[in-house]
Amino acid sequence: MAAQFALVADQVHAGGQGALAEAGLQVLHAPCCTRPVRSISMAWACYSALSTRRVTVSVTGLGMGCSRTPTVWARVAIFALMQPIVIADVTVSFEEFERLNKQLTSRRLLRLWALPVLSGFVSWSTLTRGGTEPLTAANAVIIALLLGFVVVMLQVLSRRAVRTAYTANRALSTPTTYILSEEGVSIFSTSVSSNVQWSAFHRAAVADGWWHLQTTTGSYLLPADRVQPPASSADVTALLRQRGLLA
Amino acid sequence: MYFIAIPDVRLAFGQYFLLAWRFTLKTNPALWVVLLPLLSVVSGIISFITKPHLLGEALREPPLVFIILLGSLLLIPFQMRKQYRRTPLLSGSTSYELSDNGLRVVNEQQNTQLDWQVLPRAYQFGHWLILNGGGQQGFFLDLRRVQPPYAADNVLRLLQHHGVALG
Repeated sequence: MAAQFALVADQVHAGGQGALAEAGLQVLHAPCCTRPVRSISMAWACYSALSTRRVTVSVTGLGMGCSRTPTVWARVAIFALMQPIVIADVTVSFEEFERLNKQLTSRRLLRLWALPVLSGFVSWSTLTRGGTEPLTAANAVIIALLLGFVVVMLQVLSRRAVRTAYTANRALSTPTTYILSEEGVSIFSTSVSSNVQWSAFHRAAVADGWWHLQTTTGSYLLPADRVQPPASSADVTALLRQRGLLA
Repeated sequence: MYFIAIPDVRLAFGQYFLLAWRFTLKTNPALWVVLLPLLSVVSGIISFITKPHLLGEALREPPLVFIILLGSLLLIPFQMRKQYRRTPLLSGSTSYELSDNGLRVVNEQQNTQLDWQVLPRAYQFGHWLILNGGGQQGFFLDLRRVQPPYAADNVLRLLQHHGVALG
């Protein structure tokens, strides 16, 4: 994204300018407003207070910036705040979503098999009057057909549910940047800016090079290959373990 | 420019239970089949009340099918209660701010700003408005708590203006 924000050159620490340039940010030597920001939540409060979507980030070592969009702001925050872990520009394709969904929900799908088992038992019990009468061949066929129908419907409905979930959640196909810090996870895309505390996360799982973070109101898929240096995927795993989300 | 505040929205579990089911049945009509086992359980209970000798028989020789159906029906509110309790967005106090920039959601666990384009649809049930954020995320807005000078009408007009379909 073409980014533009102002930065006070003499407050940028060594390497900061280079890092900003690498991230595709245009550095302008024009100062704007100042307000010291020491944490992501403070930066967020500062950002939120300005409905014009301009923000100032000023931390020891790095200068300050005024950004135009949340994504740009996120990038400013990346360099400005206590070296959090950044997982940048994540998109999830439908194929990946479907594959990960299958791996991550296999345990829950097991529970779904209770449905054909239950319907088989209920129909058997009804047709044999609670097992007091013998099962005729015709009734056995009826039960088998019913079981087949339930199994096929489960397959069809779960496939449809995955597709609906993917299309309904536009965030999956929009490049999104995640910042993992001591306080929580900040999520930024062109249409969403969110700051979620660790207490909201109740489970994490690993599948095929992705982390799946589950909150009380939604879930996030983070690919290991998008972790930005100097952090590595081991840092993410360590952080999730430290938070008690990963075994 | 609108800046509509709906502070301190609280949702009781009973209210959540009813709204969640109305929402689910409206958006996913196939789930009406869930009512079939409910009907058979209700008819079973009615026959136990009207013909008490049936209850005596049932207690001597418990009808397994009835117990399984009743158990799975009781499991639904139990699971919903568990989900409700651990989700501050449902069981805690949440403040919403609606403006031309989108929806802002603030509670003890999150501070989120969403553009209107990620909220394609809203559903109104009485004085409750459910905004669907895609995936599992849904926001329950209590239109009685809209702060003056605005009222519920302003909220609906703002949604309409930003292309949020009212279901």
